[in-house]
Amino acid sequence: MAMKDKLDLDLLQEEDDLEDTQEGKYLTFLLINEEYGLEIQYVTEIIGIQRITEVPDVPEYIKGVINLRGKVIPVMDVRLRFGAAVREYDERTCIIVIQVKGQPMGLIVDRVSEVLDIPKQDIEPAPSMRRSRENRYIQGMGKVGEQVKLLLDVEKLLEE
Amino acid sequence: MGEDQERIEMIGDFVAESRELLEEIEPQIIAMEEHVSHAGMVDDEILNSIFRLFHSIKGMASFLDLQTVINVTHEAETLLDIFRKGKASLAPGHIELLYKTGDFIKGLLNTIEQQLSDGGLENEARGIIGEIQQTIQGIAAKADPAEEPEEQSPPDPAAWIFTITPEMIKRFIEDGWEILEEAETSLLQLENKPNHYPLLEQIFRSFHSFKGNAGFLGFSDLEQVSHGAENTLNEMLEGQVTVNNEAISELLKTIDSLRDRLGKVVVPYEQKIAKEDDLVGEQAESSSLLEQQQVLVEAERLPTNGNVTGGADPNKNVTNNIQQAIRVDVEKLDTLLDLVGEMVISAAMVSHNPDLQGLQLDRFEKAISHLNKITRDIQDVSMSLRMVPLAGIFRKMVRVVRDVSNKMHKKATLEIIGEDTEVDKTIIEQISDPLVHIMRNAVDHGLESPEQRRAVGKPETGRVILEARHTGGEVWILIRDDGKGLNRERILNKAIERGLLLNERQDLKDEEVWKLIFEPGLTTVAEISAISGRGVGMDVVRQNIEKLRGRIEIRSTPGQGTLFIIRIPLTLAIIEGMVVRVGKAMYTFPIASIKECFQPKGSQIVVNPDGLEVVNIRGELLPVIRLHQLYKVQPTFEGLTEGILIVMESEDQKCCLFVDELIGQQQIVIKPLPPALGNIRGVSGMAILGDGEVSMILDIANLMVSTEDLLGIKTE
Repeated sequence: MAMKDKLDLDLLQEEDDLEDTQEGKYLTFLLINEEYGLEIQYVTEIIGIQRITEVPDVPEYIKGVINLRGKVIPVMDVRLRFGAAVREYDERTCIIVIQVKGQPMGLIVDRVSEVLDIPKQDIEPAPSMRRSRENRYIQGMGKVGEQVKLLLDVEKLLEE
Repeated sequence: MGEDQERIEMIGDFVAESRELLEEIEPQIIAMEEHVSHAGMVDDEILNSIFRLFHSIKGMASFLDLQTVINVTHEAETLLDIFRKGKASLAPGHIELLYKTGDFIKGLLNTIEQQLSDGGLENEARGIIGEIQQTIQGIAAKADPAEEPEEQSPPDPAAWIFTITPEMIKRFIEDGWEILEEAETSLLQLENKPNHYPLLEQIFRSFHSFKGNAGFLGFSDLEQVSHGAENTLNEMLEGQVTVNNEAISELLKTIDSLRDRLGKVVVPYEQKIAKEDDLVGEQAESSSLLEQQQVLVEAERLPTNGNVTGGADPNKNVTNNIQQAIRVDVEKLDTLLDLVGEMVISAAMVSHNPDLQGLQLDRFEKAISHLNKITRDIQDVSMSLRMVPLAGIFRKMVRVVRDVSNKMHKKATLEIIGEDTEVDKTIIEQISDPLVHIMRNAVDHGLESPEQRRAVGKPETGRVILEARHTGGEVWILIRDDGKGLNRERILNKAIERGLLLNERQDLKDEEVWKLIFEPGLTTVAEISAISGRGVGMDVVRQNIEKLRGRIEIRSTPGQGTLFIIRIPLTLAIIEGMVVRVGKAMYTFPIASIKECFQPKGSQIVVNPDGLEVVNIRGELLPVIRLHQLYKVQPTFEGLTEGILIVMESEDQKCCLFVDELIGQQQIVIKPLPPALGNIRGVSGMAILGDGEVSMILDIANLMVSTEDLLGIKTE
């Protein structure tokens, strides 16, 4: 009996570990011809582009709000956030719904790619010499084989 | 078992009914007090009704053989009877005693609810009974030697086997705050009449019962500290120590220290007292605040831990049976309400489904109208589950105003309007604190002393008005006083002194200046009083209200008074809304705020030289707000005669909104504005329409203010 309890405990422990394995996982997506990565722990779901209700008095990059199964969620066009040009939404345009500090937000991106493991040792700090505006929202660069993914600092992205 | 069960039920009924009666007693006592101070005599009717209330409690108690309750209510009756028969006139001390008696019975009821008897409380009851008897003796002036209030033999401790339950500790904490508060009040009174023997005795008893409780539950440090105070008081009573300012200050310090310690008492099995961080932060600064947070914590804990509490004490389980209610986890309730909201939307989506258009579906129509009806009923019922009238909290404010005005030597009346207004339970929990603060401030800082009021030609008695109402999708709680108003200069100077403002910012608007009082550490009162003025409080008020996604506004006119408006959106509410279209955008208005809709004729419209359009409706001239200009969208119609004008009314303002067309009336589920969007002019929430689209709900009052900015019209 005691043995079994202990086993159960171990199993529980393992489940906790599973939770932790979200660490180092990134959802990658395409935006302005670059591959970006976003820590998977922030992502709640990915949906196709849908009807957006415009809202006044918000920055240009906040496109408005959507109805996600009865919840009203604001959406941000990440292109506009980076100061890039507007691009017509198409069937590959996606909204990545994230949750940061308890607040939901939809991120409009050109295309969602895949989920990747990027271990810590493969992440370099964002080079500071680049002075482009988007650099403000990059927390590091992840090396995946030959490619480099720009890792988003989600919290900064949502700051005013 | 059957018999036991019956008694349990009877006791449950007794407790519930007595509580109601006690709630009635308090306003009556206040009414009586007012009557005495105005007319200089007791109103027989009020006196009789108070008498009857105590009498009913006594009657019920004797049926159940609750001896302590009987004894206490009996003494109260005897006391009241003296006044009824006109043998003596009512003095403030007597009123105080009646309050105390009421409070004591409240405490008894709590215990009875838990242990199903009032045994074990005889000792405590002796204190209050003795007090009443003494008063009676004092009045009667014909001492009855038989009724000596000397201690009788205490009950054999072994006869009562006590296990210390978390409830007892919780009660001890609650009572502790009360006792300390009482002791403090009395000490402050003692300062003015140092030779007032009964007062001194009362304080002695306070410390004594605090010590007793602490000792009983094994809080030895609390016991020791209060024991020290008790000794000092005893020496005072025996004349060995003179009662002077210093001695009183010393005792007040002891109270502070006891409060400090009491604040750190941890109720076992709970994850400590929640929000301890907050507590520690403010502990040193305001003990009265602490007390309120304590209450708040209790309130928050109850709904979720109801089951845990029940399990910890076997008696409690029994008590749960007698209540004709089930405790439900608030989270479950919230989920249910969310689902109901979704169901309303889904039902609308089915009945307004575009696929059905143009089809002749008689049986379907019948079925769907039935579905809609049931949906609406379910929604009404589930909404009411969480709604509680504000009356409970509002009534408490009567006491707050009374206590503060007494303590601060001010005269004040409190008027309550709209106490039936129902609000969500979370609002009740969160609003209590801020309300107490604002009420205290209104009396303490807002109202002038009677002398000052007379000097400026106001009636000596200040007025405080507490009002609640639903406005649009919000609940408004308004607190008005007719005092001296906020002092602009003083606030500005203080803010500069505190480094909140730079010197050059003297050109701030009044509203911006008033907002400064919510900054931590800003107090404009030169001297810190026992009640308010320590600069904590207003920032906490704002925090609590912001937790409810609410706002607080201040309007103040020097010499005339201050108005606080607490505006809280309804968490989940379903309202009748009118959906309108402007270009591609859909907006929703609460039906309640729409007066009429019409298509204007050219002759009705006048344009001011400054470009303001005014429409003449049966002789009434109203400004036109073009919604498309306000929100910068492309409208279908530019000409006023092509679209629709909606006449809106809010507060005492009216205006016309210009839109393209009316889409129709719908049940609207109000969803909160996502915080990430910040404040949007004129928008109080979001609605999901029948077709699944999101629409902004426009709040008329806000809209008018923002349009005034837009059009450059000066308010007032």
